[in-house]
Amino acid sequence: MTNELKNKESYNWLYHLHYIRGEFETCEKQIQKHNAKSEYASYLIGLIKLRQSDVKGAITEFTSIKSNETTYVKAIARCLMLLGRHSNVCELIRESGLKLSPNDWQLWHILGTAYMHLGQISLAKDAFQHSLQATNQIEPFLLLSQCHLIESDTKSAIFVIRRATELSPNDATLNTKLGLLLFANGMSAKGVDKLMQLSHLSANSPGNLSLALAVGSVLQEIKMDIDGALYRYKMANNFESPCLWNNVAICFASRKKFVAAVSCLKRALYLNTLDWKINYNLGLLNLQLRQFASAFHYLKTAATLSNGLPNVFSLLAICLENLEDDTNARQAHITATKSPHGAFPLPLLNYAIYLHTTDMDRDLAIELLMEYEQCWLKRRANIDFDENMIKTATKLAQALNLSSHMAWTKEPPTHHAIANSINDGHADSENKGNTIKEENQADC
Amino acid sequence: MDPLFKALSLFRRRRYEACANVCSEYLEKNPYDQAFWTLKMRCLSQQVYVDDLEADEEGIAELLMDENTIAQVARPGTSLKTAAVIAAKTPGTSLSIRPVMQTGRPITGMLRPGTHGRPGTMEHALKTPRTAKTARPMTSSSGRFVRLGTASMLSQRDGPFINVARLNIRKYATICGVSKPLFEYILFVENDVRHALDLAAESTQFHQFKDWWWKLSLGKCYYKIGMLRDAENQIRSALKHNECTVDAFLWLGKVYIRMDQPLAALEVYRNGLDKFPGETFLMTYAARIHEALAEMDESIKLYKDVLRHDAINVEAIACIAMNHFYNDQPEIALRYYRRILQMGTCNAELYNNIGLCCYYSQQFDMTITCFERALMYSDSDETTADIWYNLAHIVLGAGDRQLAILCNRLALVSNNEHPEAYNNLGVIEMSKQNLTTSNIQQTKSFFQAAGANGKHLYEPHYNLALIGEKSGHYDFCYQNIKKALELYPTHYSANELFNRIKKLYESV
Repeated sequence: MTNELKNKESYNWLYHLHYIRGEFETCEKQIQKHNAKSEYASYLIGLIKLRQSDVKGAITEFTSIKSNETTYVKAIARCLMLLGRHSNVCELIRESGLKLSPNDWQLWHILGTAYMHLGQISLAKDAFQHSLQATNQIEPFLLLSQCHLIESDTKSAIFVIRRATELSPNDATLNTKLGLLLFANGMSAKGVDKLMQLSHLSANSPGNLSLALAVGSVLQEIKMDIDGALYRYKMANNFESPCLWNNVAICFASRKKFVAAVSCLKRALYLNTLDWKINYNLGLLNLQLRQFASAFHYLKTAATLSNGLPNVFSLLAICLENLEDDTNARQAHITATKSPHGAFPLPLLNYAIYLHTTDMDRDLAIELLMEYEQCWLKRRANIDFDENMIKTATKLAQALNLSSHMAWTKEPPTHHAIANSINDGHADSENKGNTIKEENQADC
Repeated sequence: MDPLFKALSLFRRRRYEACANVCSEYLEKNPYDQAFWTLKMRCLSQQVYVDDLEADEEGIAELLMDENTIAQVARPGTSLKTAAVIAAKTPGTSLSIRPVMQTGRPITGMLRPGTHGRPGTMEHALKTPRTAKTARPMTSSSGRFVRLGTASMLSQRDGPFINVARLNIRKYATICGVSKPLFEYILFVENDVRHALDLAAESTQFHQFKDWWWKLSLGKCYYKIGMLRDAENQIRSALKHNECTVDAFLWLGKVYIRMDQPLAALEVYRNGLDKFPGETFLMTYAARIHEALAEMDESIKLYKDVLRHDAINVEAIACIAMNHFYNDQPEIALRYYRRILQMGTCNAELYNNIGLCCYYSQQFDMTITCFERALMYSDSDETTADIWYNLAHIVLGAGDRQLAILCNRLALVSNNEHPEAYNNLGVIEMSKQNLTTSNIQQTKSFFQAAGANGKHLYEPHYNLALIGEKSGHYDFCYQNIKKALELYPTHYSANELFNRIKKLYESV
C-alpha cells in the first residue's frame, strides 16, 4: 500500500536505470505498471520508440509533453529531421527552440542540417558558425566544410577541416578527408604528407576502404611504390568495390602484367558498368595489347559516359587510325582538339603526330604544336605533362624542324639525346584511374 | 501364335499399348490368368512410369507445416531452409558478383525441381501459386501425381483395370511374381500411396524382412506420405543388405534433404560412393548439395569427377560453366557451353549464356547473333524477359542508356515482375544528368517495385537508402538499409551507411 501512495515520479531513477542498461522492454513494462504519466516517463518511452525505429510513435510521445524545455524541443526537431520534414524543423527551432536557449550548439546544428537539405546554403553556413561558437564538436565542422564544398569554395572547406583536425587529431575519417581535399586542390604535397602520416598510424588496421584507396593511390602515383599500394589494397579486405579493382589493375599494368590488369578491370567493369574511367582504362590497355576492336568498344563507351572528354576522343582516334578508318580517325582528332571542355595537351600532340605521319597538313601540325606549347607554358607545374609526353613532343618538333624553337627545350636539356622513330610513344597517356570516392549505385 | 508369347514380344519391343490390348482380349476370356494379368499391369505402369527420384516437387503444405524441423534457427551451414546468408568466402560466391535465386541460394547452372522458389512465409507462399508462373502444387499428393493417375484412366474404355480398394492385399502379397508388379501398378498408375504402403508392409513381412526391394519400396511410400523418420528407418535397413542398389542411397539422401539435414545427406552419398565408386548419380546429388550450401569448390570438384565418368552429363557441364563464368573466366565457360551445344541441346537459355560469355570475353560480333537466336528459341515469357534484361546490360556496356531503358522495358513487357529490370531502370534513371524531382520520384518507384517483387535482392533496398540519405529522409533510409543488410550482411558500403544513420538515431 505504501508503494502506491508514493509520488509517481519517485520511480524515475528506476526507469532511468532500465533505460541506460538497454532493457527497453522492462522499462516500458515498469512505466505501464505504475501508469506513470510524468514528463520523464513519456520522454523515455519516446526514446525507446526511437531506438526501435518507430519515429512517428516517438514524435507523438515527445509532443505530448507539455512543458517547454530545450531537451524536448531538440528531440522533436531531431525526429522531424529523421522524417525528412526539414521546413518544419526550421520553423520549430526558430519559433521555440532558439527562444528558449539561443546558444545551444545542437539546436543550431540541426537547424543548419535542415537548411542544407532545403538548399539554403548561406543560412546553413550561418547556423553552423553559430553552433561552432558554443562547442568544439566535430560534426558542425564537417557539415560546414560540406557547405563550402557545395559552393565550391575549397579553401574555406580545407580551413574548416583543418581546424577540426586540430581539435581532434586522431580522427581517421576527418584526416582522410583533409588529406583528400588538400590532394585534390593543388596542395598535393601537403595532402600526400597528411595521407602518409595517416597510413603510418593505421598501417595494419584492415577494413577502411576509403583510407586504403587514398593511401594506395598516393603510393602508386606519387611514390611509385607499387608493392606498398597493393598491400594497402589487400588490407582493405573488400572485393566489392569497383574503384579498388580498378586501382589494383593499374598497379598490375604499371608492372607490365597486362593479363592480370585486364581481368581486374573486367571485374571492376562488371561491378560498375557506368563508370567511364574503368572503360577508359580498359580501352587503354587493349590499345596497348593491340586489340583495337575491343579498345574501340571500350573507348566508345567511355566517350559516351564521360560526355566526350578530349583525352578519350584522342585515344579513340588512335584506335581508329589502327583500324585503318582514316576519315573517322581524323574526325575524332578534330573533336578531341576542339572540345568544349577546353584545350588539353594530349589530343593536340596526338593530332599533330597523326598529321605528320600521314603527311597531310604540315602547317596545321605546326599550328597544333604551337598550341601545345601554349598549354605547356600555362600549366607546366601540372602533372599532366610527364616526361614521356615531352619526349614525344620534342621528337615531333625535330621532325618538323622546329626543335630549337620549343619553349621546353630552353630549360634543362635532358631529353635531346633520344632519336628513335617518332611513332613509338604517341599512344601512351596518363592512367587516369584513381577514383577515391565510393560508387553510388549497386548494379545487379 | 501363342497369345502370351505375342504379348511378351510386344512388351519387349516397348509397344505397351498393343501388348495391353492383347492382354485385355485374353483376360476377357479368362479373367484369372495371372500371367496376362501381371503383364498388363506392367504394361500400364511402364506407360506412365516416371523417374520419381527426380520429378518431385515439395508442396507448400509439406513445406510450411513441417513437423520434422529440428531447430527453428539452424546453425549456419547446416540447413537449406533458413534464410540463406552466404558468407562471402571467395569473390566467386559473393552476392555482388554471383546473383542469387529466389531462395537466396547462389544461382545454379541447371534448373531442377526444387531450384525454384522456396517461399519464406505462409503469406508469401499462398500468394505465389496464384501467379501463373510459379505453379507450385499445394501438396505433393495433388498436382502432378494426380494428373498422372487420371491420364492413365482415360486410355481404358471400361473403367479401372483393377479396383484397388477391393483388392485382397494380404493374398497378393504372398504371390511372389505378382506382388512387385502390383505394387508398381498401384503406386504409379493408381497413385494410391496408402494401398501401396499396405501391400509393401505385407510383402516385407511375408519375406521375413529379407528382401531389400520391399524395404526400399516401403521407404518410398513413407516418404510420399511424409513420414520421414519411418522412411529413414526402412531405407537404412534396406541398405544393410549387401545386394542393395544405388537407388537406396539416393532415396535416403532425398529423405535427409526433405528433413533439411544436408550434412547427413552428404554423409549418405559418401558412404554410397565407397560402395559404388564412380557412381555419377551419387556424385551429382552431393554436388548439388554443396552448391546450395555455397561450397562451390567442393561442388565443382564433384562435378568434374562426374564428367570423368560420364563425359556427356549436361548438368555437370552446365554447372562447371556457370562457375567459371562467375569466376572471371568467361572464355572457359564458353567452351563448356559450346560442348553442350555440340551435344544437341539447343534452347534459349543456352544461347543466352553463350551470348553472355561471348560478350564478357570480348567477342562482340557473336554476342548479338547469339541473343537473336535465344529470342527466337525462347518459348516462355520468363526466359524472354531474362534475355531482354541481359541485352539491356550489354547495351549499357556500349554506353547507350536510351536503348538500355528500352530493353529493360521490353523485359518488363514479357514479365512484369522482373525485379532486376526494375532496379536497373532505377539506376539508369538515377545516373541521368540534371536530376529533377520527378526523376527522383520515378527512380524511387522503380526501386520500390523491384524491392516488392524481388524478396531476394538487396540492391533495390540499398539504392533506396542512398536516395533517402541524399534527400534527408533519414527514417526512410534507415528502414531500407536494415532490409538490405538482412539480405546481405557483409556489404561494405551498406554497413557504412547504416552506421552513419544509426548515429543520428542515437544522438537524441
